Amino acid sequence: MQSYFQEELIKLRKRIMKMFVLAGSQIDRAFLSVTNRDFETDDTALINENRIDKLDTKIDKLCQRIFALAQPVATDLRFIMSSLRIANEIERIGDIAFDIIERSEVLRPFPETLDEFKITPLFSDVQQLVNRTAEAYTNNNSELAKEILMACKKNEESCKSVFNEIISQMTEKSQVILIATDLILVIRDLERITNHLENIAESVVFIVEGKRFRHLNQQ
Amino acid sequence: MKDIKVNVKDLSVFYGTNMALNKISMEIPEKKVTAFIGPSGCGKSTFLRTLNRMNDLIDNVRIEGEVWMDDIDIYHKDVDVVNLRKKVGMIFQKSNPFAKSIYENIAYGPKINGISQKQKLDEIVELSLKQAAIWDEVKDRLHDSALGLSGGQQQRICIARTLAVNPDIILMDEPASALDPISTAHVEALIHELKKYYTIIIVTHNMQQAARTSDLTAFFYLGELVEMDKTRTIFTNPAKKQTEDYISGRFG
Repeated sequence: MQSYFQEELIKLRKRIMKMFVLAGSQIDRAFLSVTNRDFETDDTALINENRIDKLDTKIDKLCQRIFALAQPVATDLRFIMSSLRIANEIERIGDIAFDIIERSEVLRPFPETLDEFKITPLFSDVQQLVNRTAEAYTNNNSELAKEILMACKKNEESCKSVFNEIISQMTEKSQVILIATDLILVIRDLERITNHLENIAESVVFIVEGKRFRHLNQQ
Repeated sequence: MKDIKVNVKDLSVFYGTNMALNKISMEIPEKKVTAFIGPSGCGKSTFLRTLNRMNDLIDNVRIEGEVWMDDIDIYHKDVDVVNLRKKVGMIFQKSNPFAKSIYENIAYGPKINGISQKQKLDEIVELSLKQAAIWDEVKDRLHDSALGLSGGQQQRICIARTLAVNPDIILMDEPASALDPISTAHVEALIHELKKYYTIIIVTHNMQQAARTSDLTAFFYLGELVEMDKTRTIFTNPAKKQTEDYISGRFG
């Protein structure tokens, strides 16, 4: 009974890690689709998107089963509750990355515009954040999670500043308006991914320390 | 936090030379449910029995420390133990109704306390059975044997019998461990209702039962009180690793 329960917890952690890997590769792919002029669309993004959705459903079922059969408490309870939430956050990250890939065709021919607005560093910051968040979850590292929370704040500010820069360019140069509109959507998407990573980092702190950071840093 | 009903200071209990409890200090609030949890042999039942001096009945027991109920030290030499046990009722794991009618089971305590008027006894029996949430099930057969009832009903008769002498505190030693889930739910609902009027202390091996029924939980291990806190804290974020390991089934 006990070892069965432990196995279920390990299974849950592995599935979340798989979701992290898939979401990370979707973001990598979104980056390439926007920045690489030679990027060729295929079914990979759709296949990954479906795998993420399936894992999310499987995690729902697994958590439901654990709650019903093992009645977890304390750290186990916080881990399962949070993993359920984290799976939903990763699923949303996957959706957003997929949306970027779908919209990327418009931006792809203009790498110099992307450089001008520093989109590449924004993307790589988000890629790094995904990897670090996955690491914090995998290793139950609440200190790293707190660092991520700060990095997310910084990233959101960078997104806002690029956003403002684009708006000001749009008012000055009418020829950038078309591409800038799509760029704004991408930046918004990167900001939303950052928000989801922030929620995940808060959940990691909750799992490890039992403290709720959720919404506190918005007050 | 409500007023403190029981205040235990540095209580140690020895069976011969064997120390069963080691300097336990604890405050038990009035009209709340306090659960004692811990593995077998950890001392939780011994501790429960010190609260109505049932350990006095065991040979070779030595008790050190103080147990205050309201403003009375219950181990003081002038304390009347019979009177104490009237104030501190006890429910056991196995229901133990007398081989008498349901009515006689409930009326027994009031009778030996000097109440003989039938009308008064009738009132006490009805009120106690109602408080124990079993009146509707037995009101038409009060003079049938209590032994003919189901295990869950017998346990509620025992609770009614305890209530009939108007205690302040009810001690429960695994009161639902021999009951089916429906009877257990009845007893748990009853505990929830009774805490409005009584201070309840329950020993249980059932973690979910402690979580469902109690306001505070105390975890005992090897005769020591490891941790005591609000039940919601113990079951969501306990302070001690030993507590966490025990409640999540990782002990040993």
